[in-house]
Amino acid sequence: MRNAQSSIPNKGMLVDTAQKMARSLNWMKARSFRTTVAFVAILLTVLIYATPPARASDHQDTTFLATKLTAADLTDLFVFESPKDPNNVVLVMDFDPLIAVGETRPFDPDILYQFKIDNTGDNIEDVVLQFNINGKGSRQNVTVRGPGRPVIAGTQSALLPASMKGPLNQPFSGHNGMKVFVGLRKDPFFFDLEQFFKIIPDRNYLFQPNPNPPFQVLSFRPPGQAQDTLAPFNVNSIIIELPKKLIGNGKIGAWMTTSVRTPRLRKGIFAQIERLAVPALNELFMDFKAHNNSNLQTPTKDALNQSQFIQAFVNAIGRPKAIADAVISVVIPDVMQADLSKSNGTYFGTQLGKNFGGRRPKDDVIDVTTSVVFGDAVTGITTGKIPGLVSDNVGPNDANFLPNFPYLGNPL
Amino acid sequence: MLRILWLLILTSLLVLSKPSNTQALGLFHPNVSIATVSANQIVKDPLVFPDYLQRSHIISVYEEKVSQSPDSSLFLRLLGDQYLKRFREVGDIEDVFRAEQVARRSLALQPYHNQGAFMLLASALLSQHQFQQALNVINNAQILDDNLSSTSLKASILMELGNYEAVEQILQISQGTSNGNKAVIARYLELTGNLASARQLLDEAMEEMDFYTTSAEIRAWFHVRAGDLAFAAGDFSLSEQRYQEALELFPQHIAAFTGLARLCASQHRWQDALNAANQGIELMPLIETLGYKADAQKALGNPKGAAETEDLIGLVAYLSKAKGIYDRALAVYYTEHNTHLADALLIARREVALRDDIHAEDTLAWAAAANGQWQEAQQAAYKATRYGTQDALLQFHAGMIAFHLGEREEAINRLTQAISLNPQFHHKYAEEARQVLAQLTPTP
Repeated sequence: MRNAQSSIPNKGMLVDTAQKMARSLNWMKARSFRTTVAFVAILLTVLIYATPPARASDHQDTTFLATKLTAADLTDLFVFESPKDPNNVVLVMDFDPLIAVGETRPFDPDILYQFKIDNTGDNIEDVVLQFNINGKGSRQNVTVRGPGRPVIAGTQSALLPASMKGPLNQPFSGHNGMKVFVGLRKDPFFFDLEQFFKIIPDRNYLFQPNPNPPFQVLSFRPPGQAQDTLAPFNVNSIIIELPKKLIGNGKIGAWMTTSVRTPRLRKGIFAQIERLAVPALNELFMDFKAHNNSNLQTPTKDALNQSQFIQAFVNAIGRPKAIADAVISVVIPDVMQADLSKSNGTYFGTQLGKNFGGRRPKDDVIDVTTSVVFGDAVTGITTGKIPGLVSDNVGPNDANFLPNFPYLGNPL
Repeated sequence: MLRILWLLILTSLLVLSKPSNTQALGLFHPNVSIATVSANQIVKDPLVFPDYLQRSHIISVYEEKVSQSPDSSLFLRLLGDQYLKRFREVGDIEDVFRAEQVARRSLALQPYHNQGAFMLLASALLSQHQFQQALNVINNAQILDDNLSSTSLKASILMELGNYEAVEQILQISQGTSNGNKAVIARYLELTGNLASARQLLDEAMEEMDFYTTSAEIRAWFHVRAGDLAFAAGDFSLSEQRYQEALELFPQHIAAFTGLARLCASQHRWQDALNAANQGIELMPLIETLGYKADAQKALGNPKGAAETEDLIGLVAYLSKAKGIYDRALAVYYTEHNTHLADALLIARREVALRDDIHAEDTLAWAAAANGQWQEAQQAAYKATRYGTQDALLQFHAGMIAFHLGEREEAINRLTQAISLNPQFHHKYAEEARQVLAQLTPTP
């Protein structure tokens, strides 16, 4: 017993703290006291990346994407006629948001970026365009695959044969008249996100009425005071201009996805982790915690999954059901509709205007959406109209766009 | 002597009150080079993108935006997020204070439904060991959107407070449908005696993090945690590999150096332990790391160096006390080194009052034993091991306390468990456990 007890320390003499400090004076001259005491702030054994994202069009869509894999975080899809060649269509995929001025965000070689095109009306992709980054550091470049019929349709993907390869951050061309740019751009999206959060701070409308009414503020800021929250930020973009005939010849539905290799799947297969098409659909209507499920689905599931959120939202703001029906009729499923046989596109033009439709970088998609949901646009319904919410009073800044390929403005 | 003491106090107050930064002391990369040097140029064949090299630049951009738009609750929150990231990378406590400040400003501007700012504030308070305050923030935040982040954060706070029953409930572990991030669940499993499951889950989480663009410090953290758990399981080869991987991903990872120092000390690889401890101390003089350094210096026949290191520990202790900070690492050091035992017990008791987790109870058990408070030691040891911890050191402490109290069977069980969990769990105590066991179970 006594021998063993030697491991249990006995009371000893207290050390003269002042003496010890004096002996340490030389050390202290070379070190910051602040650093010395910083030990108290534990480097937590349990990892906290708790700061949730800021969500714009679809900026920082889920916490996982926002905090651990921003390179796969999709923000905006644009589909528009080439301003330079009426035979061409331009597809733009923006991702990795909130890039500060002077900040470098690399591309990730383990992410597969895809445009998916349904040209038969069944909301299943018939043609895909794939982009994957090769290498790390300064040696990165991009391989373009397709357009072509997918090896696998749905939430899993396999690589098509390479069709062209090129550098990052500068345009390059390949066969079939395709032009490609993959790199940093000024974020083209414009929105008074700051005020939006004050108006619609959460989206848990399925549980309304809850102790907190949905609106804390009933108006966007007036012109002059409204601010584009995305103005100071860049974004990474994949931009491709190609002949329309390569992806279809009539109505199409387009969406974009990011996928990753996962050990759970067999070699060579990528698993979808995000999906996006119609701007503000998720952000305005969908409960945030439902985003991840939606990201892992295909458009064929949208009617069931997403319509309920729109109906609940419209009901919560006290507007007639016809408003929800109108919204659902144009945004569900979540695909960007375009009619390649037509021209002079406007946002929702395929569904409403019988023109090209699609979305151009300067389209004020927020105002279009809010004017339908809170105003009388499209439906003519004035019941429950909320005039202060029909526009965020922020428009496109011409300086953020280019007249020629790649059309999105140079980074800040 | 008095003059020197006053000089020290004055100097410390000046440094503490002036927001000079660690970068100026060469502890991190200076701002000027960050904006102009491409990270790609720095690393030839990178495993990970060194995002931390840009952190101060990004912070300066957000600080400018906040300055231009002082009423922007959003920019304040984004700025606070960057402060917390830099804290994890550099360990400057001032960044935690900054994060707390901007979170409070954001909440003042938008007091309702500002979930991001609530969670930022809770994270900042948690980092300051203000556990109950952090929990209050989360509980009062009316976070309707009960997402993975808020659940994980709340679970993390509750684990620090020792409320494992509540953690199990909110993580829905017993229902078989985990509702938190894997790292948090792994921590819960580790603390509650499921080390193998914890390791498996953490390995999965680590694998899921292994993207080139994932933040370097975050990726490294997962490797450090995997190294810690491998050490706990006695898998020293894998543990060392994980720590080295962490340092390849993030060369300034303090916890990786501390883990390596502990690992090498346990194996009596004293020169390696000294080297690892020195590198960690260069970044931040943690009590634990300083303790390994002093032990290594003694083992290598350098009592003078060990005395100087102990002086430094005394200095850190003094500064902590001056700031009203009581850290259990100091209590552990005092107890293990048979010094300042009254202080050790005082600190341990305060720790239990602050956060009653199993490690606080274990610290109290060992400090109370060192002070001859055997009833208190026994009660604390029971609390420390009541969830079946597979931490060999905790089992050893409980076993030795039982041994002292004459509870032979309990002592044998605990000490046997400690040795079988990890035959080299501690550079000194592992051998003692074997000796006591031999004494208790003499071979015929």
